[in-house]
This record gives sequence, structure tokens and C-alpha cells, in this order.
Amino acid sequence: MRPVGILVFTLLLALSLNTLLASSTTNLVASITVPCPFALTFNTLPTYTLFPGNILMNFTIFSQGGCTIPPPSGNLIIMRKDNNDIVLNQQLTTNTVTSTPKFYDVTFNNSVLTNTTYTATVKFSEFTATNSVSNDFTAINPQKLVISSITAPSSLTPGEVLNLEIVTKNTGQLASGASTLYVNISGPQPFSASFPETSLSPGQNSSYLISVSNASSEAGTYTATAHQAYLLNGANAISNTASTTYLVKSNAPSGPGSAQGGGAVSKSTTPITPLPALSLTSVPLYTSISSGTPSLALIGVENTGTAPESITFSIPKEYSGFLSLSSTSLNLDPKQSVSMQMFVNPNTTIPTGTYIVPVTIKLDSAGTTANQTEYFTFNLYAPQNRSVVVVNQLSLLNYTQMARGVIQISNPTKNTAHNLTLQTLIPLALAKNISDIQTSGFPTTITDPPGFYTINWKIGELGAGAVTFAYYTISNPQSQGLLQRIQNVLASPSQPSPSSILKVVNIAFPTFYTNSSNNIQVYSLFTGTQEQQVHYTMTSPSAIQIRNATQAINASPNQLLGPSFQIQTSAQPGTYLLSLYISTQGFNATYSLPLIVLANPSESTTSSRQFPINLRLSNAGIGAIAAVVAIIAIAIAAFLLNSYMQKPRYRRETSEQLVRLREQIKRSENE
Amino acid sequence: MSSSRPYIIRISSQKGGVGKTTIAVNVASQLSLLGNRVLLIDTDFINPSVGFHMGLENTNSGVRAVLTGKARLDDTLVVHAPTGMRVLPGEIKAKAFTPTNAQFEKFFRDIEKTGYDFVVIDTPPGFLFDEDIKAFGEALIITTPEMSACTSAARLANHYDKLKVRHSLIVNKFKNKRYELHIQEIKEMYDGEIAAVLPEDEEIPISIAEHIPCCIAMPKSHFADEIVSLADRYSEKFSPEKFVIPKRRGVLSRIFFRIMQALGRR
Repeated sequence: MRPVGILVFTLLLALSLNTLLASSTTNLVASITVPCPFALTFNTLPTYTLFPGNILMNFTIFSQGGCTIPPPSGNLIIMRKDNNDIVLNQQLTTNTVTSTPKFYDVTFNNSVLTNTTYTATVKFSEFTATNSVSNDFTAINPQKLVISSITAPSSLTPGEVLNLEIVTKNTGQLASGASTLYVNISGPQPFSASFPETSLSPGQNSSYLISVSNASSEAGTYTATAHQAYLLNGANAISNTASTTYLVKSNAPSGPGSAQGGGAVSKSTTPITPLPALSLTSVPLYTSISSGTPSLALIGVENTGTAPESITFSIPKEYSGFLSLSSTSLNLDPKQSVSMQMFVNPNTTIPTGTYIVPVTIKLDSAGTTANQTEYFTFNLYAPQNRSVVVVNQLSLLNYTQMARGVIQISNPTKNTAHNLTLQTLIPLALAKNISDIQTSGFPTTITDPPGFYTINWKIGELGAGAVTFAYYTISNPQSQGLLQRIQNVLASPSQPSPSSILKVVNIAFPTFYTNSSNNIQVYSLFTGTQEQQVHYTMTSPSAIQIRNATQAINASPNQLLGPSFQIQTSAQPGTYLLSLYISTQGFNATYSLPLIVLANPSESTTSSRQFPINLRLSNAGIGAIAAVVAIIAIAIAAFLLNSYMQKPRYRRETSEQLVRLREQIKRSENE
Repeated sequence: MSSSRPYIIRISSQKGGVGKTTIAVNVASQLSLLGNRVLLIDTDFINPSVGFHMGLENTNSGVRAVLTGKARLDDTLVVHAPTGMRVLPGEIKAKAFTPTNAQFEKFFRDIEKTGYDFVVIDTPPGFLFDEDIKAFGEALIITTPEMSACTSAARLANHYDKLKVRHSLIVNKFKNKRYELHIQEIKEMYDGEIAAVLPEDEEIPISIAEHIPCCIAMPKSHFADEIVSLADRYSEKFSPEKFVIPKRRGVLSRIFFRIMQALGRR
């Protein structure tokens, strides 16, 4: 071997065996570590909704060199994209990594996240090789319904209609879906009611005016509370509870003349006592009247005798200003019946309050005279011009064997009212069976929750200025006094305030090169309350072609939409400005998207361009390198061993022999 | 040093074939390359071979003519073009010749007057000229790492000791093989300083065939490195005023040295 070769080989030996020989010359242990390349995939969603609980992501890891890696150490790092704050650094563990891809789930509690965009990175290291994959995702808050406010008049006069105004809001970022509004009133005259709510889009407000008739017939302090129930990720969720208090004054409002005072509606003002040979077939019991709104009540009588009868009706003259009878006297033949109209036309100058009007009936028949006084009660309240008004009349019919209610619903506003919810609450003790309650005028459902039969009237819409009626009857009412406890609750929601129903949460931009095609995917979250079509239009400069520039997608509430636009670039690298226009009913927006087009490395011919060096080795290459390294190591070891064995050895006996020889020579020379 | 006596290095061995002439030619050449004025004399009157090593085999006169008074020293010296040193070669074509002690004494007195820095004398095997050995500054005993050569070297060292001549040992043709004596064994046997261990090198016969000293023809060879190191030590010790290059020289320093040397020679 030539000296240069020996020198080079010696150097190679020295370098190679530096780590192999270590310090021991007696025990030689060689450990050859060959890096094993591996690959990672990391799967995340574009958006994660922060429902209570954990967020789930997954990744796969597998080796690429046909080799096996002992369980490597890795990390999941979640970093805010706006300020690069790391909110989570979680260690990851896997089993031994082989060439078969294995899925691993990684979960973390979403309490570390807030409503913003994050970059999630999975990173694994194995010896000198490190792989990491990063994905962006956006965290959004789920739907959250709150009762923003509940307001009631500070005080009510007995018999006055209670108007509760409740404002709800969806403070989350998903549409709320169907929900239920619960209203409870505690006090001397408690009651509860619930109303279905329509879906609210994110940030949307909705206000409800709850009108409760006959809610203030008993004086005292009342507390009204409201809360909502809705579904959140399949589980029941409850909103906050808001409350307000109001006072029902004990004093009767000042009525004209001999208006009955001291306690609103008397519980015993309607003794139904048939006169001889005369039956009252219907008697007005209770009516709610808005000032300025005329109303009509009927009084029905029948001659049950065998001789003609003369009947005279009269009311006190104090009520003559707004109360009149269609006829004050009439003659009835035997078995003849007739209804007399009582017309109420209160103008706005008449004080509001509860009026109990005595109606005197005088009978003359075959020289027999009899008198009877019936009492007609009505509540007069101030007109409501800002919401739908409900007016209730209640009469006894069919010889007091049936109670009939007439509910007048009027819309004095200039807008059509939608989704009206009217509930009639009938005390349970008033009817023996739910089948004794019959309704007409609107589709209804009748339920019997605790304390009340509830008639739910379904009134889809009511035009501006329109008036409509709903009717119900109760067969065999068990108590005349309880008839006055029947309440009507009308919930009229206001028009919801407009809000954004579409949010672009992520736009996936791949790396674009010249003369190539790739896709831009736009992820947007539709939070409208009903299915509708969303239109996407992307425009670009002439150097960029968009093959599917216009797309339309039918979107469902809370659906993540991800239209993909196919982009074809030209030969000119640079930055191009694309425009994305998104429109749907109630929403439209334009976004500017800068598109960076890089020179395609495969097309470069100039010598000045820097090419990326592909250091990726094939599986066969890795194996070959490992084999060569092993062979070299063995060759070096064999060479070193051979050289060591061939080197001259110092032998003491030889040296002594030589020294003796030299001494002998010296002696012989000297002799 | 040029104003004083030259330092005379006698390259000697009792045994033939150990590489005396090769070492003499290369040491002299390297000393000359270091800027010293060097005279190389081939005193092997039986089998002169310096001429073969340096391409001077066709010279008509040599050391024999000077010793016998047939020619003047200055007229007989041959300039070795590659190194600039002077060479007094043996006469290859002449009959075997044995000079007298008187001839040697006069020869060395003349040499001492020439003003050379170093005089390197290549000798025949054995020790033929005891009287003149006293004039030498130092004797380099050449041996090979084998028992017979080392025994001869020990005998020669003993001889030099008796004559009170300073001597050093050079182990030549060292192959670093199992069958060779260990350097430590040779050192203990010699009981003195080993000046150099020169490896067996395939470049040597090539350089001889080309008639160019190995340190010039193959300056990167291991043998040349050892010769350079040996010459450096002599030059530093006995001719410090001359330009001396560092012992550990790289390629650039060697090129620089060659350039400086060429410029100085002009």
C-alpha cells in the first residue's frame, strides 16, 4: 500500500474507530446507530366548537426505511396565531414505530382555548431525525342563550293586563336551534307558562312581550322570572334566570259613580239564580276591554213558563256614558228565548280599572213581578299600541251549563306579527276532564300541566291593524268563581335584529408555483336559523384562472361550508390579489386574498437559481448505506486487528540478548 | 559557520546494503535545500555509487584523483544542479583503491579550508580509515531492524566510542512488521540516541532509478519527511544563521520555502 493510501486509511480508521474503541482495549463493544426516517400525518378540523369537554385530534406515524423505531418522544403544541402564545405543550407517547401507519388520538381539555385561531403542531424526534406537522384551526364558542332583561310595570291596578317584556340573546357563535322560554310568576296569584322560541343566530337579540290577562286580580307583590332551556351538543342547557318584581295595588281604581271598589273582582257577584218562569241562557261574566276599543256582551233569556212575560233591563245611569243595552224591555212568549246585547264603548277619557256593573232584570208575568240583579265585570286598561293586544270575554251559556270564552286578538301596530303564542290557562278545578274543554278559531293543543289546563293557540301571523278571535267552551263548569281565574297569556316576539349569519373561519392556501394548478378551500360557518343557499364567487387577475369561480351551496344551520376553488397559475411568478364575494340572504361580504405564486423549481434553467437539495433517501438507499457502513466498520476492525498483530513486539529477553551481545562485542574489541 | 570548519557527517555501517548511500545523498540534498553549503563525498573506493544516485556516473575524475594528487579539489567538484550542492563522486570505472592515512589527512585539511557548512561523507561498509575518523564531527551509523545489522551497528558504535567520535543511530528500512526488532529493543541495545527511523519506502528505488534524490523527487513521501526532519535538526543546530523552515511543514510552507530558496540561489 502506498504511503498516501496508508495515511488516508489510517485517518479513516482513526475517525471511524474513535467511538468504537473508546477507552477499553480488552472488551470491544461496537454499537452502530443508523437513523430511521419516519413520516407524520396530523389530522385536525378547520374549526373546533368549544363545547364543554375535550377536543380530539389524531395523528399517524410510521417509519419509511423499513426499519423500526423504539417509542419516540413527541409533543403537541398549541399556539395562538395572533400573538404566538403557547397555550398547550402536551407530551405524546406512541408505541414502537413500524412501517405500518398507526393512528393515535390526542385529546386535551378545551378550557385552554378561547375564540381565536391557533396553530397546532405535532413534533416527534428520533435520534437526529425530527418531523413536525402544523395545522391551523379556529376555536369558536357554541351557542349560548341568555336572558338579557325582563321588565314589568312597577305597579298594576287590579285586573290590569300584565305586560312583561323579556329580551333574550344568543351570545355564542352558533345558531341556537329551538329553545323554550319559561316564565314564572310568584305571588298571591302565581302561574307559570312556557313558550317555544325560534332559533337565534349568533349575536341575535329577540324580545318577547308577554301579555297576561287577569293576572292582577289579587293585590300584592309579585316576582316574575324567566329562563331558557335549549340543547347544547345534545345535552340540555339552561340559560341564566332573570327576574323582576311588581306590585298590584290593593285599592280598586276609581270608577265612575257606583263602581264597585275594594277588591277588584268580587268572588260572589254572579249568583246564577233563575227567576220563576225565566231562565238566563247566557250571562256576561268577565271582559277585558282596552280603552277606545268597543266590545259587545250578550245576555240571553228564555220564557220557561206557559204565559207571556214582560222583561225589563236596567243599569245604573253612571255607566250610561260608555255602557248601553240594545233593548231595555222585551216580551217573550212561552218557550221563547232571545239575546240582548250589551255594548261597551269606553273612550280614552274613562279611567282604567275594574268595573262591576249591576244589571237589574225585572219580570212581569200574569200579575207576578220579580226582580233580580246580575253583575257584569269588565277590566278597562290602557291601550297597547306597540304590541298585539288580547281581550277576553267570558259568558255563561246554555242555562249556566257551559262557560264560553271569546278571546279577541288585535294588532294595533303597523307591522305584521309573526309566531304569536297564546296560552289560555284554565284552573284544573274548573273542568272535570280535559275533554270538557273545546276550542275553535285556531289550531290548538290542550295540556294539563300542574295547576292549569293550558290551551296553546297557534297563531302564525296577524296583519297590521287586524283583529282575530279565538273561542273556547268549558262544559259543566264546576265553579263560577274559578271562571274569573281564567288567564290568557300572549307572547308576541319582536322582529329579531339582524346579525351576521356567516363567518369565514379559515382559508386553506397551498403553495402555488408557476404553470401549475392547486385548490383554495374556503371554510365558512353558516349560523343562520334556517336552511338557505350561500353563493361564493371568486375573481382574479387575468394571469390567474379560476375554473369554478362561482359556487352555490345549500347551507343548514351551524354547517361548516368548505367550497374549493381550482386555481391555475400562469408562467409569471408574483403576488396576485383575488377577491372572494360571499352572499346569502341577510349576509354579504367581500374578502381580498393575496395569492403568492413562486417560480416552479422544475422549470428553472438559470444557473443563479438555488435549488432545494433533496436529501430524502429511498428505503433501498438507506439499507445500502447501512450495509456499507457496517462493511467498512468490519473492514476497519479487521485491518486494525491485523496491523496490531503484525507490529513488532518488544520482548525483554530479546533486548537482554542484544545487550549481552553488545557487551560481548565490547569486551572482545577491547581485548 | 562558513568562516569555521565544516561539520563533517560520516554515513557509515559495518554491513552493506543498509542504505548508507541513499541516506547520504538525501541528507546532503536536504541540507543544501535548506540553504547550506554542502559537499558530498563518495569515499567508497571499492564500489562507489553516489554517482548513480545523482546522475553523475559519467564523470571522469573524482575523489581518487584528488586523494592521489592528480587533480585539484576545486577542479573535480561537480555541481548538482537540482540542489546546488557540490559533489565529489567516486570513480566508478577505476580499479579498487585504498588511500593511505597521509592522503586522507591532507584531503581533509584541504576540505576544512573550503568553507562548506556541511560535508557529508558516504563510506564503504566497515571502518577502514581509523586515523581520519577523528576529523569527523559526527558519525551516523545506519542499521536495519534486524539482528545481524544491529549487531554490526553495536560493533561500530563501540569502535566510535573508543575513538571518542560522536555518533548517532539511524534505523533504515523499517517495515513495522512482527518479524522486525522493536525500536525499543534496538535503542536498549545501542544504548544511545536514535536520530531517525526511516521507513521502507517504494519511492526509494524509483528515485534511484531516476537519479534524483528521493527528498526532491518524492518530497511528500514518508522517507522524505524523515530526512527533512533530520536535516532540519542539523541545520538548526549547526547552521542557525541559515534560513530554517519549521519542522512541521505544510504544502504551502514548502512551496514558499522553495521559492525563497530559488530566489536566494540567484
